[in-house]
Amino acid sequence: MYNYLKRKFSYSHKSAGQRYFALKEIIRTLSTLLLICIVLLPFYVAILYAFKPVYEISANRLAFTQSPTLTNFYEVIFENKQFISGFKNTVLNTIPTVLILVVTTSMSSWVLARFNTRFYSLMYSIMTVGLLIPFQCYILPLYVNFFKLGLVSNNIGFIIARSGLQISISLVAVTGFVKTVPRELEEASSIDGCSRFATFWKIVFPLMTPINITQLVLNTVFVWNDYSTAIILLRSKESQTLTLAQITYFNENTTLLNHAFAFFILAMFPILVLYLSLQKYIVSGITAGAVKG
Amino acid sequence: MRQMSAKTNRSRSVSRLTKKIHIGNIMFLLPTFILFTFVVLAPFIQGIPYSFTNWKSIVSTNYSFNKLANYEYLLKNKYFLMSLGVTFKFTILFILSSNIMGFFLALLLRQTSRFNNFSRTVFFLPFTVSVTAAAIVWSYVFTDIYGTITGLVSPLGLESQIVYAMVIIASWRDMGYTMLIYIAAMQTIPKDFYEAASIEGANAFQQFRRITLPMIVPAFTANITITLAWGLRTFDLPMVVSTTKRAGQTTAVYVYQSIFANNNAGLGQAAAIILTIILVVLTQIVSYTLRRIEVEL
Amino acid sequence: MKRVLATILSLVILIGVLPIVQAESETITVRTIHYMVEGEKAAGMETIQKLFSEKILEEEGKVIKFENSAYSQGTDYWPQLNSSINASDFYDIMMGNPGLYTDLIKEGYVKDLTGNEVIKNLGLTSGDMGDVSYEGKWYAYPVDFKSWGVFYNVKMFEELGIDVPKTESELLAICEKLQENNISPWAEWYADGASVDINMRTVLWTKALANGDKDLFKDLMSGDKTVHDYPYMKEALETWARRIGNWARPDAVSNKQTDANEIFVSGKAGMLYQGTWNIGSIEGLIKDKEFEYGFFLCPTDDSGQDPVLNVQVDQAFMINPKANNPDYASKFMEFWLTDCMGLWSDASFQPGITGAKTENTPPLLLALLEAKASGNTACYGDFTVPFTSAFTSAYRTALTAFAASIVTGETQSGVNSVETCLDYMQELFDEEIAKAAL
Repeated sequence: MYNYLKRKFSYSHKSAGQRYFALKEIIRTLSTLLLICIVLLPFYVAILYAFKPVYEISANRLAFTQSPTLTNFYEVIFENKQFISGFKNTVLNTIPTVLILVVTTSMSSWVLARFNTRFYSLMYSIMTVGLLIPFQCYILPLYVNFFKLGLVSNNIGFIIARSGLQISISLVAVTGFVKTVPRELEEASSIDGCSRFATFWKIVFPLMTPINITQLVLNTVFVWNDYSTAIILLRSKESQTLTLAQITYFNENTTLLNHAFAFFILAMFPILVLYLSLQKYIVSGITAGAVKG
Repeated sequence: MRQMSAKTNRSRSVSRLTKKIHIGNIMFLLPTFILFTFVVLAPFIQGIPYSFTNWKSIVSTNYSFNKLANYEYLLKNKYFLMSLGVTFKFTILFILSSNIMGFFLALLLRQTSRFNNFSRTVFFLPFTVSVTAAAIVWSYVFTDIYGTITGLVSPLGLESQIVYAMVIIASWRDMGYTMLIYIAAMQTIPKDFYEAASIEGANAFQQFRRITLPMIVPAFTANITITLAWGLRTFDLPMVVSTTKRAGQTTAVYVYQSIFANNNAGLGQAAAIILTIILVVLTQIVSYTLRRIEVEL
Repeated sequence: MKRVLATILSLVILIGVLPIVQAESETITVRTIHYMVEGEKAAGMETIQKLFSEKILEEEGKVIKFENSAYSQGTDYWPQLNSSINASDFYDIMMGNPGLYTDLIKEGYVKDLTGNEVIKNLGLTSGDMGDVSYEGKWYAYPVDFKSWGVFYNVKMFEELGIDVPKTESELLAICEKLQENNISPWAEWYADGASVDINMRTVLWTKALANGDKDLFKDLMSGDKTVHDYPYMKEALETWARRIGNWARPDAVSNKQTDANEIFVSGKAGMLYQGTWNIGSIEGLIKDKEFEYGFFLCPTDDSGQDPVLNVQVDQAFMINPKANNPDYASKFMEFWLTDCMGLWSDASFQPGITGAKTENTPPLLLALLEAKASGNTACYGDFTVPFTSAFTSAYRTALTAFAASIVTGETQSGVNSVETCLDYMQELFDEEIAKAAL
């Protein structure tokens, strides 16, 4: 390839730069397209099964079905009570969790980023060590504590647990971001006699919008797809989330693989919409947090 | 920052204002700290004593302390060490592949254009899928697509290949995340750096080596640290694809099986503590090293 | 912005609280934890629950509500049950064969049903009762039973002029013949631990029981005996290996139950070694299709005698006396066993433990019931104790490695022959024994 490029390059000196550039663009686009195809392969499989009539058995499992149908989606949504209640629970769990996380971590991160004494570094280390403790290590005591407080099989318990589990990862990102925000503005406002609380909400919080939106999206992904916490804490059928409802389809003995994949696509959809609508904020937000953190 | 900390440490006569600020700060930290303590820290500490007991089934309340017997057993045990081996092998390959792929994609898509935005969305798409679902879909990709085309056995069915298959699945899912961070880092590099370099006659490789690389080292630190933690804690993936194969079972699975399925709760708790220690030490070493590199570049 | 955020937050939390407040009405809630993740079984149980609630409402004027939690047996069931007991978060009805849950029994979380009139009146054999007993006492209500054998494609067999085999040689000849006609003899599903396990049982259980080795599993778990002490362990592996032969499909090691069913029904494979729990799934797949399947017990030698039917209680339910409503839970199980067995069998395609049949009972189930009634059986319940979940997992790990090594010709965890498989199995057993001694 390199030799080929070189030859092209020396072919005509005048337009060499342009040719080289155009060629580079073509290669870039082609390789992107190729990679897109590879990345989408699993989705092809999911779509293939989701649109196949339930009991259609084809000798070639790769071929797209002759008679695509939407009944799988229909049946998942309307005939399986778990989908509607699972969807409701997932939404009711996810929204408060991400909001709690936005409020708590942005407040704490501001303090942790602005003060650097031993006390604050210690607080930071303690709270971010959560990223490193394996979940299996404390899940049993966590469940026992929650059960004693009546927090098992209901949304509140799950919201509390999930926010607590997510704090470490959020804190790292948000603190990193706040360090990049200039402190002149808040200093000015405190001279103006604003209380710390007012300074934070009026000055700092709006400045943190990019990272907060990023955290909103990433935390939504984490909470929406949560399986390990949900399976331990949400035991009654009424309290189960989409992931739990979905996993019963993907069981070793399942006969309804088509429903399973229809479910898979439906469960992914809301996150995709959220991501697309907030996409332009995401990139700027992650940079600031993760890179400087 | 330095000045601030010096000021607060300097004397015992803390001004009323600083004291007030300190109390205010604590109010800001409190909600997060309580939540974190309640959900993670307290249960973790509650669990530690059990690692020094011979607690078997978690339904029984019958156990006695056996000092360090669990730890001694584990550190000499072939299968526990094997699970650590699997975890390390998976983690190293996972860090490499998810970061190399993410970095490569970022290089391809760093400029903002409609096509690139679309592509970024596609590459981020797998990250929105849960690990469990991803593992199941991939098992079909391996059997239906890979198996049909090559006529070979699915790598998930072979002990010699199962870790590689797991790495593929995990990287497929997480490279979208690393890609976003790399893109973000690349976008912070001012354009005129490259222009200046071009004028001075630097070729593409030199530009990459002298400008891109040093500027995005912080992104490497962030990505490698997080993929390291994710990799060492991998649990959902082997639980789905490797239930009957030791060759794919990570330490997190060993911990879970011991505590919940195989009636060795004390032992499992000890294994969890060992894993935590390894995680903390390794992450500290890695981030320290990466920060040193950052400074040098 | 702040106010809006706060309002949304409190609203959402409020909505979250509402369901909890609602749930505190004066109904009797019976909680069930089970691993019937197949739709038709769970639906069958829910129908019976509904009938029971109606009955109690009519007779006693009380409202009974059932709360069912289903988890996959292979991965989540035992951890979920375990941790809930640890937290005193009790379920009234717990699915499972008591032999696997001896810790629950020892700690008093399982109701002693010894001498229960309803169970007594079912007239079950000692083998059946063995599956729901521990140290001579009854601890569960048995509902139905399972066995395993070969499902075959009737039309394919007819077209190729193949008869149901009476001996192992005939079976292997069929495999050869199918292979010559470019059809895979078997649809295998070795990605699932249950598959490798049932492939052993036909020889292992039958020979062990015929030999009087009722303590097989007990002695293996205590370490008093090793797998090398039982010659039929080796024999079972060899028989199975001959069956896999040189004709295994490359997808054998990565298929699960569903995949194997599809391969079988699509005509890519002529036979399927499966448990009877799979009948419902196959029936579902062939609905509205011209597909006929037959079933025969797998011949394992050339004696030509009728193969012995392995019998194991499948659905069985324990009652937790420490839960809130164990009495209604018992009443429910007794209602199920006396009034609903036909209904259950029709809904689940499972052969009822009582032999109950209806006009809808498919011929295959009738044949199974008949075979069981004939007494030519080897029952799991006749062993003193079954493998615990830790040993089951070790056992299946070794067997999976064996299956994969036969299919691919590659050494797996040092396993590439019957001998090495036994060595690996014993090594894993020793590991469990050592852990238990800590």
